[in-house]
Amino acid sequence: MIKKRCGQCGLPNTYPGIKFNAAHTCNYCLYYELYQDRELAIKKQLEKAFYKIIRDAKKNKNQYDCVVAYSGGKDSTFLLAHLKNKFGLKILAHTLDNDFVSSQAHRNIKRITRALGVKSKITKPKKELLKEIFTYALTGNIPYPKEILAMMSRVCAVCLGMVFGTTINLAIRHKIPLMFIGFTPGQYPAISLENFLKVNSCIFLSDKVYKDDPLDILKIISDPIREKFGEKVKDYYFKSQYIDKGLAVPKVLLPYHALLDYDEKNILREIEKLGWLKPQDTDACSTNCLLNTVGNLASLKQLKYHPYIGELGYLVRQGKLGRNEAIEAEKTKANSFAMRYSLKKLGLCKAQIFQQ
Amino acid sequence: MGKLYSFSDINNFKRAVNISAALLDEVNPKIFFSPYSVIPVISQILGLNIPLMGTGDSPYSVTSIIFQLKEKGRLFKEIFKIPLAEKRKILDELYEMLAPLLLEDEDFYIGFLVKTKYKKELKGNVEIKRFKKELKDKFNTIRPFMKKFLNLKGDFGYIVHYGYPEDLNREYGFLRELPYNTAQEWRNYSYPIVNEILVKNFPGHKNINGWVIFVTNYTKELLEDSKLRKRKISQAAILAEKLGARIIGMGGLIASFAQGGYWLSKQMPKVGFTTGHAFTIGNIINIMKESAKRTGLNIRKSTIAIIGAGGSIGSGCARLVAEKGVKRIILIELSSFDTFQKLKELKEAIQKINPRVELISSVSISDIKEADLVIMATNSPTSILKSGHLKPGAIIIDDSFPKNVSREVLKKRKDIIILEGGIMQLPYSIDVYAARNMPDLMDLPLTRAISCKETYGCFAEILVLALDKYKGNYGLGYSDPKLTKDILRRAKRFNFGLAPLQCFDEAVEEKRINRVSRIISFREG
Repeated sequence: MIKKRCGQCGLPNTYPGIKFNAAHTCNYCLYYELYQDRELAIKKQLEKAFYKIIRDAKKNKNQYDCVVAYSGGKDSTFLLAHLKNKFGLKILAHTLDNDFVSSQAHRNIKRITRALGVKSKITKPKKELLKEIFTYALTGNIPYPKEILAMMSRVCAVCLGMVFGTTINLAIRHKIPLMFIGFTPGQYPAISLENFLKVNSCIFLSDKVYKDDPLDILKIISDPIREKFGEKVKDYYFKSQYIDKGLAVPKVLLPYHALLDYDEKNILREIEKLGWLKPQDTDACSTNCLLNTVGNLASLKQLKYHPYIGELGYLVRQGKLGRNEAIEAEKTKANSFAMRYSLKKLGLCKAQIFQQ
Repeated sequence: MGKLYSFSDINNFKRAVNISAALLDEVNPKIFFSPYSVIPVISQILGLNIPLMGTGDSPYSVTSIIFQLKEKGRLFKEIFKIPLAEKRKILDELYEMLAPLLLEDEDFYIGFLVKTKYKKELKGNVEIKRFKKELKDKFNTIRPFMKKFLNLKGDFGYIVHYGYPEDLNREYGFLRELPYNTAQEWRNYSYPIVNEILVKNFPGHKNINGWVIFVTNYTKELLEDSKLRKRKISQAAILAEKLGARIIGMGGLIASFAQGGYWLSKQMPKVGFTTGHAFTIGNIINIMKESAKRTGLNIRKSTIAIIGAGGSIGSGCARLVAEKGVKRIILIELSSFDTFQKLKELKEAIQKINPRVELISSVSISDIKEADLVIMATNSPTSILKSGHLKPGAIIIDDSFPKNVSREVLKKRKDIIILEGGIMQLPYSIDVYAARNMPDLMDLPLTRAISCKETYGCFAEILVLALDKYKGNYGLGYSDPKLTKDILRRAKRFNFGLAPLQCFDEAVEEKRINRVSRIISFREG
């Protein structure tokens, strides 16, 4: 039950590890105050390195310079257009079709890649397998640690694991040196910059071990799924951030974290010029996925906080969103089309999710 | 610019430690368990690690003590200016210096580094002398600061070793660059590396903390050198006691290297020891029951082979299997030491437990051909089970360490099931926090404990005893079936249970289970 919120960012008392001072400010806001100078310094480095990494990628003689994890949503659409138009990169746009992609998002993917002259590749795992995985994420009480669940719902975690896994594997197979993800500044925030400092990539992939290594998020997300489903999921998940010596993995960059200013209104304006249309069937937190809303509701009921609040709080601290807007964005419509559609497709009822 | 060394500059080191000390001076040292709790916080203060959202719950996150640091933004900014490579060196050095500091072995440690890790880069007496002076200075800098956090607040220690040379070389990259003999000397005399662990929210809101202490040698070299293993294991146990551990568990082959822990217990009477075998055996027996249930195997009518029957885990399993009632047990012991005597004694003991069981003893692995279910409790450094050894429909429960069954066997034989014998389920309610993130090692799957809330039986045993505030020695020497029953009872109170049936970290495919079930059903008519 939410009894208190941070006076600055709006994080609720139910959020993992939150503490408040006498002025009702939370520990995450205070850390951000201390951290923001560092963040700026690292972002400057990343910005500088970004152009060099792109130049280097363009020197390769492969079919593609980079792969973009392309969901068809607004953020990755803007990113795709920006990379194509500004840098003229040879791009492979990779979409993981989780079987809950809005039909409008499908049309957007087709329309935008065609308009930009970008090759599109869609990975579509078997529907039955996806259904099993998502049902497990919603009702199986996967014991993910608080660090993961503070950033995303279980459904988003298992899906994101597949996006990472399939896109990284695709890049390895095609020897693509660079990978882009359209995470907003609040998604996977500071850790991406920390990773960049260490391995020149926003996702930590290393064949060495140091005593300051970050949490192995790739492994943490995939472990319970690989344990539960075994061989069936091996192509969809990447085992660990620790890789075999000599394996050529792509550098992963998250441009919204340093290079691109995240301005939602501008993003929408620009992509609409390319023919992108906002899906009418998704809920407020997503512009491509219908399942997202069920995951959010599950988190709200099971963990007592909205899985987007960590991300929204970060945007509030950055001055990109108002505190009240963040709190408003938390509201999940329990009877929306996306909710009914997803539950029906999974053969679940709300009670099964709430019981967990 | 002066010469660049692979160790940190003394001024940077002092700056980092002194600023960290200043930042932490308003923090109550009692909120930490040991100096090892403070290192991840220093790492975040340095800017090497950034706490994830949600980590305010962990004592290893700077966000949990941020209210005491808030007014010191200037220091926080200043420390970030130290170059990244230097910060990493400083953090490594802090981790590595703590053991000799706590063991009061600083001078030996300094000399040892000169002779091994830095042998190649320290040229001539002047450089060596300066290095020694600076390292002494580094010790003087950290001593008062770190000792402030030695609170002797700990529940358990757990000693483990590395499995393979690759595991060590991946973490200590410089070993690859050193000549063979120098690298070996480093491994022989290096000090243990510690990872502090806090596990919160066991049923009844119980929390426990302890230290996983890594002996910096791999299996094979410990197997081959009895003096080395005695010295290094003893050193690790002393370190655990100095940190405040009340009871110490043994992972990997530590229990067998330490002869069941007797000499450790004699040497350190104030601390309790346990081999971890009781829970491991209990878990194997539970996996046996579960796999029989899933495949329709009638244990009472079956032939069970136990490879490594002369060892503590193998013999414990054999006794409990006999007690349960089976048709035949094939006792196989492959080690050459005292084999026939061991098997003879075991046979006599089993006959007393259940005279109706047919017993066969053997020194050849090919005798498992008749077995419906095979329990592997061996410790060969390489894989010993071949696909041709097994009958169709066989179930193998593998508790060997290092793994004595390879993936190849599973690939070649679609008509058998291989099950991980050691892994077990921790309560879902817990939160696991480690001072250091690291890859899963063979007997400490730490990430797996975080992601799946699963761990090995020997580690689970020390957790259960720590939760129960057990005092004194628990399981020493050869396993005792009574202890297995006791630990299972204790563990049940804290919701420890059976993990899903799995092999090489993956679920056993339903197809495979069905195939084996059909073979068993056909065989049993």
